[in-house]
Amino acid sequence: MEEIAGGAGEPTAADRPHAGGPVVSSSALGMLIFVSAETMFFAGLLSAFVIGKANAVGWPPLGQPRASVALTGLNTLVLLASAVPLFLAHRSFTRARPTNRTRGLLAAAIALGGAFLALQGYEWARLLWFGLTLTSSSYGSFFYLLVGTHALHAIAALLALGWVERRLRRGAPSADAFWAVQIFWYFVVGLWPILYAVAYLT
Amino acid sequence: MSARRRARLLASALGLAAMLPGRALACPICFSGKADVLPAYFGTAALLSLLPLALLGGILLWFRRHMKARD
Repeated sequence: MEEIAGGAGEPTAADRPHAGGPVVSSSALGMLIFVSAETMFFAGLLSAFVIGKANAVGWPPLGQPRASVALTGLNTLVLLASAVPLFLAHRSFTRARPTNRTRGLLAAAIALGGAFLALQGYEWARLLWFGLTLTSSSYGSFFYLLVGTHALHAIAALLALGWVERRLRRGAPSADAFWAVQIFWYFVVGLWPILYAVAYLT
Repeated sequence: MSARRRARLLASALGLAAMLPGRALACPICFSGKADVLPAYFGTAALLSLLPLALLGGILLWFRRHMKARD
């Protein structure tokens, strides 16, 4: 019998793992591009904040309430901690497909993210009560713009995590979708300490 | 390269460096009475200029690592 190229003894390109497929999934690449754009957006906001602060006579302005450094520091730890169960959930998902452990870890990450947002809401309510509003001073404007924009991203990322959790209960989300949502949450988590340092500690 | 040639090159480079103009501050709003303002402008200009390059470089490196892992 005539031997044809790519026969049983000769590995072809199609035999190699992922051969012919994309190097990176479209969802992961799309999320990376989105996160890069959002990084530039936050860099612009931070730059405006730094310039505004440098030009101000006193910072925070006299008579304006100060944001709670200790409470928000604790909240920062809560948000950072949420990345751990998410990482473990993804590892469990890729090793053994969805299990109760995967769902439990993902639920823990969502709970920690929700706790972060709840504490942020409490902090905002307190500051509003004490008179720090969007229009009370440039400090208030920058504070709510920076922290509020991050909170919007955190809400969107939490909704995405909730979507993954729902898909896990019904069957299994694609590994690529899980990975893309994970990138988004890591962006939200990684960005916050920088915002905390700039808006609260300086 | 001989030591004399190296010394001549070094002297030429130092001479050229000495002829460089001082900082040109062309931005009409990048200063005020406060000393903090100029470093803030420099810092943020550097951040906004270098961050896109860093992001692009990071994505390309990540891409390259995945390509290597696939091959």
